Amino acid sequence: MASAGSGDEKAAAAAMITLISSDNEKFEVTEATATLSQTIRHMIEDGCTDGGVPLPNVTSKILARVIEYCKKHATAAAGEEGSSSSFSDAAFLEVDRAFLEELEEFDDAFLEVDRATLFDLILAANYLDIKGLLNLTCQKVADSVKGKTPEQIREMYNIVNDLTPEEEAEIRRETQWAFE
Amino acid sequence: MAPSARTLPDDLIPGILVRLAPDDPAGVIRASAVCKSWRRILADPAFSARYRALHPAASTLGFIHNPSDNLQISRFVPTSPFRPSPAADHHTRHAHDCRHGRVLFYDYDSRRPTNNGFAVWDPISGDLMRSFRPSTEAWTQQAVLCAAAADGCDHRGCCGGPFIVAAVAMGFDDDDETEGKSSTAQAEFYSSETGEWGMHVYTDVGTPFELKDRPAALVGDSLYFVGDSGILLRYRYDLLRRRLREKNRCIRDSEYLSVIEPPEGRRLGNVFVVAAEDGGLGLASLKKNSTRLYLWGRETAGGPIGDAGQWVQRRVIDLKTMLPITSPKRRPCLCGVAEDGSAVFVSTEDGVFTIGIEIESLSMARKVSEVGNVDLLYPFMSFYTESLLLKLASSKNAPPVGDH
Repeated sequence: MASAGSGDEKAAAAAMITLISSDNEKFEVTEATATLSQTIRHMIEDGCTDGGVPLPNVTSKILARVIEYCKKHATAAAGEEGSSSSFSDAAFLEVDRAFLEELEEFDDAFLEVDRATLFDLILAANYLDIKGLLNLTCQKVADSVKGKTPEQIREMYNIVNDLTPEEEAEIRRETQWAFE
Repeated sequence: MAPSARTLPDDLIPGILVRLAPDDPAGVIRASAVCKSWRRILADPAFSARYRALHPAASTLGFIHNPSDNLQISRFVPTSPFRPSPAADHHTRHAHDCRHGRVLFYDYDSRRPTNNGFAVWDPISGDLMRSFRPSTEAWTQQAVLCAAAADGCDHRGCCGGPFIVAAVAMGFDDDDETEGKSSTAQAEFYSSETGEWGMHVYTDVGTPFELKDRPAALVGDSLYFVGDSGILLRYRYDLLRRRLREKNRCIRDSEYLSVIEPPEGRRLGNVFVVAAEDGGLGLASLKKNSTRLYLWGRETAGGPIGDAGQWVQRRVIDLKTMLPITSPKRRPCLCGVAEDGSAVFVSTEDGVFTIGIEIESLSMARKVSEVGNVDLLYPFMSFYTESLLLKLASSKNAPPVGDH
């Protein structure tokens, strides 16, 4: 495993990018961290990141969380590259497993947020095109409706029930077992 | 942006709904009853395709076992929110196998002995398919499978369709003069299409061995049954089915029935045969009083999985590091293998755990049931959630895509 220290040193030598939140707060991040966002990656490729990248759709509170996620996962990606060549080796398997477990714990803790923040994270992940974060947050929403009734789901996510009573009755009649 | 009373934009909803758990079919139905927009998304055929791409494997919805201590306990133990219809889950039935969404029972109702025989149960529809009697009482091991398995059926909608029950046994020749020296293996299969048992095939297998009460693995056109210390009996039921149409004949032929020797010089202990995900043949073994699970792969020289080849030890998984084993009495017991070879099931006093064994995934144990000390189980795997989505897509209730 490439240690976090050497990863950071390597990254420090690389270019830094400035991200600017909707409330005008500036965040300095490494290119490796920033390019987890495909949106920012394209901006870097197009050479339009001088003077900072304005992100008018993302508040500083949310951007800080997004950067936290990207930092962790950029390090993880570097670590994986370092050990994948010796995948069959038992020692490396142990390291990989420890690494994945740590990452999983990080993700679990990262998702311990209220619903409004979760919404904002999904919107930011979508806007910034960060696949891993979008998958993670969408999975969290999908998991949250497990075992919930349609009424509970509507309440949780402010959804208006626009099904006609006839439609609802028909759904329940055909698949009553799913509502028991 | 007000923090409250906000909703997610419509274009992000499919990305959420596609992550509904495939082992929770009711979840999809309830989501479809939330609002018109969710219902429209779920009923879109393109959504079913996306769902299948994200969840390509069948989900384990539960397992079947034969509780020994309490006959009133259900044969079906759920490992997911899915619950089968209670019909057929009767204490006079003994489970013998489960594959391709079908459970093979033998009915031992002593009050109505004329009803005794095999029955095939579909836990999803609750249908109990035709009951039929074994061709002889001698069969010791049986396997149930979709009749189109060797033709490349993906088993996404074949339940209720034709099936085959293959049966094997060792040395029950009437005139067995070589007892103790050599042994004979026998096999036959029942086809639900013809409603009859087909050709009886037997072969000399040399050193005698016993068949173990272990589920067979289906690899290619062959079923592999487990014998003592990992010896395998290969039954090419499909080749036989294709080549020979005559019924009720009896042939001696080692092309259809043959033996694969276990890994050399090893005492394997408790052995399960695995239909590996790469299309190959594998073994999983766990010795009594050990926590080291051995995984073996069959290597053949480029050709199809045949009798020629050798066993190669692929991995060793130390269960001690992943199961809560606190007392020496709580030795883990290898008790089942997923139909697709993706996982093994291990039981302790604490419950049943599943452990992924694909080489790419890093093995982790997940508790799937509180029912402890299970010696043998048959996982029930299904594409039920996907089939519900397809049904929704073709349902008259589904508003047309794009209708607002």
